Amino acid sequence: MKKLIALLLVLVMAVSLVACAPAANNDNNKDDASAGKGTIAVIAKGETHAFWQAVKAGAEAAGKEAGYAVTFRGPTAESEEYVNSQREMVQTALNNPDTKAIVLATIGLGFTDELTSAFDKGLPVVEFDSGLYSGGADITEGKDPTIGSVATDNKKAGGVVAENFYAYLKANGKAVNGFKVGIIQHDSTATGIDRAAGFKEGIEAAAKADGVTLEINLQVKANNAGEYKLGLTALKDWGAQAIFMTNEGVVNEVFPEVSDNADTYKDILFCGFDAGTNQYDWIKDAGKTYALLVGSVAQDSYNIGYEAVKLAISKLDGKDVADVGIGGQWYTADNIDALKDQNIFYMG
Amino acid sequence: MSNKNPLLKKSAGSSSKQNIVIILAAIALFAIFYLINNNFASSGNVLNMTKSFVPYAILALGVTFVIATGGIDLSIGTVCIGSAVLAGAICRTGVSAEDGTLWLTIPIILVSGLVFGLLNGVLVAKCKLAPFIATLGTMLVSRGVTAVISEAIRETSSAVKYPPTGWFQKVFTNLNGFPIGLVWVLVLTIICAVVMYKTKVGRYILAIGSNEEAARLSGINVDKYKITAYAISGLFAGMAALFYVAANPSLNIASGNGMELDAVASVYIGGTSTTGGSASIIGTILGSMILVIIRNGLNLALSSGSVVSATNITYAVTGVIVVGAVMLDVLKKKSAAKVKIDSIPAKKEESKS
Amino acid sequence: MGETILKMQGIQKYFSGVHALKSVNFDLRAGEVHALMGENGAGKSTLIKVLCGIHKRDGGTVEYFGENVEFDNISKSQAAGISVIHQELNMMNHLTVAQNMFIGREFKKNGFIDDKAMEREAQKMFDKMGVKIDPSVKLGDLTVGKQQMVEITKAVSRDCKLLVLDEPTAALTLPEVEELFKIMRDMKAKGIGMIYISHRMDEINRISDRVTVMRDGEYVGTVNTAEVTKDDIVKMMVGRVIMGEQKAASNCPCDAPILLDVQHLNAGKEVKDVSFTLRKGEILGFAGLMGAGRTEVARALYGADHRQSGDIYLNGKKVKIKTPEQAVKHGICYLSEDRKRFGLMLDKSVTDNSAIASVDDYVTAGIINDGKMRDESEKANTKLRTKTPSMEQLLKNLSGGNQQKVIIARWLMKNSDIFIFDEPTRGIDVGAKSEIYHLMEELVSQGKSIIMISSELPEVLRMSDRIIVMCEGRKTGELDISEATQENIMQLATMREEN
Repeated sequence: MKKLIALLLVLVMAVSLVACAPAANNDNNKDDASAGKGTIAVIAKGETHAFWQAVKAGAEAAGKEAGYAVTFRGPTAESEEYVNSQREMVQTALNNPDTKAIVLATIGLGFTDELTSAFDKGLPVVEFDSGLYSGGADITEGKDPTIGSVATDNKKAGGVVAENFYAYLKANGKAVNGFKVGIIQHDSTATGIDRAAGFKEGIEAAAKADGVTLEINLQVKANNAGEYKLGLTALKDWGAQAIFMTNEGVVNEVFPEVSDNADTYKDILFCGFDAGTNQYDWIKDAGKTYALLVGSVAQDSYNIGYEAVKLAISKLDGKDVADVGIGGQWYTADNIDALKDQNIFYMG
Repeated sequence: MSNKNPLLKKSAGSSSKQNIVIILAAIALFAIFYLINNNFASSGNVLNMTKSFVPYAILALGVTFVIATGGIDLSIGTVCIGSAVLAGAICRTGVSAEDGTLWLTIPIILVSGLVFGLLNGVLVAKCKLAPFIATLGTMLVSRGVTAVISEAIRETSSAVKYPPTGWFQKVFTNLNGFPIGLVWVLVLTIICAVVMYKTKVGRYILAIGSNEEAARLSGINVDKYKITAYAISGLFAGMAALFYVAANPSLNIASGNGMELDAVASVYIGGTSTTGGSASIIGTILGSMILVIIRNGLNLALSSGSVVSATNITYAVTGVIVVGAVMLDVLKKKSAAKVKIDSIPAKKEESKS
Repeated sequence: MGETILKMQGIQKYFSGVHALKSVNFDLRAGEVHALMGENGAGKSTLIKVLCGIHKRDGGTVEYFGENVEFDNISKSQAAGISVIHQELNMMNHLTVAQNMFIGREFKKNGFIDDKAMEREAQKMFDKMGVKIDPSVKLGDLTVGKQQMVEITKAVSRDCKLLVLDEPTAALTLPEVEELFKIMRDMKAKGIGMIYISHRMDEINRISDRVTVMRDGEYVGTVNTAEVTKDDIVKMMVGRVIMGEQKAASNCPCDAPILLDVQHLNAGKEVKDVSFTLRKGEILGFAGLMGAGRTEVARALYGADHRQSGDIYLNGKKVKIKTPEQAVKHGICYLSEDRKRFGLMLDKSVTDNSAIASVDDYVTAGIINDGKMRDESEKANTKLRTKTPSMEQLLKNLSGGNQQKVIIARWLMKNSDIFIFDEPTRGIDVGAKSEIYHLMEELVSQGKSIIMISSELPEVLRMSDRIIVMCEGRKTGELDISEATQENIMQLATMREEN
């Protein structure tokens, strides 16, 4: 008898835990849903990072304008081990009767049934940021729910860096034959390749227009602790006079090295990609104590979120839609604070 | 007392009450979640649930044999994922069904699981290591070795990919919308029940769990049957990998982190004794079912914009249930011990002479 | 004899409807040793637990030094001067003797534990008791007997007025028993009252002043030890006379074929060059003191422990026995003295326990025929008159004697030829003992052979056809039953190697 009672006790505890958790959130749910026309579910590759928070802000703004509620969720980290939890988020969205469209970027495979289900339910799926993993291998033929994509055009953004950086070189009389420019590319995915290529092609073209030939050295590294630093050292030994860093991860590893050994790197000019605390501190230093970070391009995270939701809503409104490429935003010490206020630059 | 069907007899024993309670709890939870969100019972969602249920259930079935000996196998999670990563690397599978040799992954995964299981068995039975230590070692070794081999073959540490659609899914997860994995679980459950209750292997494993020394002195080759138990556990970890991969075609070595704990929790919830000696195969299945219902139900119950993570609530609920289930086991033993000391003389009088 | 310090009257105790103590009376005087006797399950332990506060009584009164008391827990009764020395000692083997003695009331100096002071104090107490123990050694390094002395000294040091000794001599060697009795007499002189629980009749005669007998939770009576004989007490306990006389002559013809021949067995430190033979249909007794190496001989022969050397011949043929599995295949079985550890699967059914060695016989095409297995188990247990409500009953719910029968059934079902019984009646109540004896006699009459290890000389003399005596790992003698007496066995059993 005693054990039965104990068992029932445990069950009651478990059931009440289960029961009270959703109860607390149901009200929440209703508030969101009362926004009117339904819900756009945004499922990103992350949630807490400043980048995603800016995307979220953009997404919510777009929803508000059109009278849709927007939910925003993402897994703990962008790694295949969290595919399960991301899939659950997609399932939640699919099973929510208020959901009208899904904005999605996946971190792994295994969404075949979910995408099919979205198609069967007639829910449009907008790919954003890097879109569906592995180029959409999860999509079943004939049951493709995707209607378009919204992403940073990395090549274009790399070109923006090149253009602005070359302008700086030229203004400072450094645009000369044999000027050595290094690139640290963060990995060999499309993102890294496009950014590096966009920069390389852009700066070469700009130089050529002036009849100048630059020397370019590309260092491709994997996303591992310490590797970017090795890239920096290699470029220093090669005699680089300027270095482009293709993402925030590279900056985060290079910045401490440059600031700790200020004299060694004093004469190199840097430019970067993405935003973040290190970028902010570095750019604000303006070359006073250590090497100068001339400027960077920030992904327009806010607009990625904004445009993605807008694309979904356009589709729901029955309009024709097309892929949207978002360019980057060049920032320097002069405009960084203004961009920060606009949520385009973020501290992460 | 004329109940001669041993399968029924075993489950009609002390664990039957627990089984009934688990079934009732499962029904109650199902009802609650259905009321919160009607989509919970939709065919799409049932398919979702079976996809996560099947690998856990199979892991749990296998490890039930080890727990029945009084041991534990912490390596099943990493053996499962490691085998899948290893086979994917060796067979060079990719997102397209034409990449590599997909069918070959099946024997490689099963053999890999079996080998790690045998390793556990030898460490425990022959080297006399405590099961916790031996399988902790294998957990780390299986993770490390399979990852290193895979990295060496593929020359990258990025995720291993299997085709997300194709015959693998049709065989293991989704046969044109039918959750085919359930059929597999049913078949494996029957096999496990027969092995556990109707064959020498199961009988000896239970005897070892009940009193290892007594089993040895009764002429049982204890080492052999312990190794068998760990081998079964390893082989089932391999089998679970097939279903895991079909549902999660891109995976890295960290995927499925903590699977072994959910599986072990299912076994305890199902009423298998933590000290070995008695095992409930049906209970194990019911235990993993409960965990999946809670996990999936909570996930659906939470609004998609919720700040509270379903995963974390699931942890808390699972914890409460596991502790409760094991507490039951302890209470059961305690009350039994009391009976033994104090009320036997009277009982003896009443019994036939 | 002093004043009455304890008076328990009309004690009642129920456990979930079972009437465990039925109006039991018990009293104890200062400076008295009062033996409490009864078969296992008679309610002795329950009575003691009621006394020291582990169980709450459901009726009756307890008067302790003239006051009505009811202790809520052990520490309350301890504070009142009641100490219980359990058969299985609950002490910490990794701590030193002194640390064990002062556990929970350590001496402190500057906030740190002062081991030296505790050792000095312990030494003082040992000296007072006349016990030779070094308080600075680890408790686990002492013999069980010495450990018991430590526990008794600890009790005395707590100003104990009432000491309960629960089967204290079960694990002691003869000299150790003597030492214990000496200390008990000292304590008597100091006016400490002692409740003494034991199954050993001769000890009761020597040490106790009065005997109270319980049976099935009922109070049978209290007698002055000096006024009754052993048989009187046994009669009170079981209501009949049971212990038989010594066997007059061997029942085994000396031309019976030699079944088992063990040559020059060496195993660890405990077995030194032991050789012996066993005839078909013979009961071979192994006598000796605790630690003589008899169990070790059996285990080495059975393959349960590793042996350095020694050959085993079965029916004249040399056989390889390195594991119990091989021994069982050769028709040898071993019934351990420590059934709980080495024999029983307590949470398994009677059927499972009976059939575990012979599962192979019930397997067809890999599947066990449970019905047949159950029927065969029932047949074997019926033959042995095992008392159990059903074959599905869990073994832990059976009494010690019936558990032993289930293990015998296990080997009957396996159709073993050689039964090694290690202390076959240990922990079995008097009534069931004679049944076990009958069973053994039945086995040999069917042509089985038995090796019986026993520490109870009357048992050895009653059952054996031939007796091998061991001392400190060596075989010191072999006696035919017709020439064996308690005296010559004891002489051989104490024949220590001269250095």
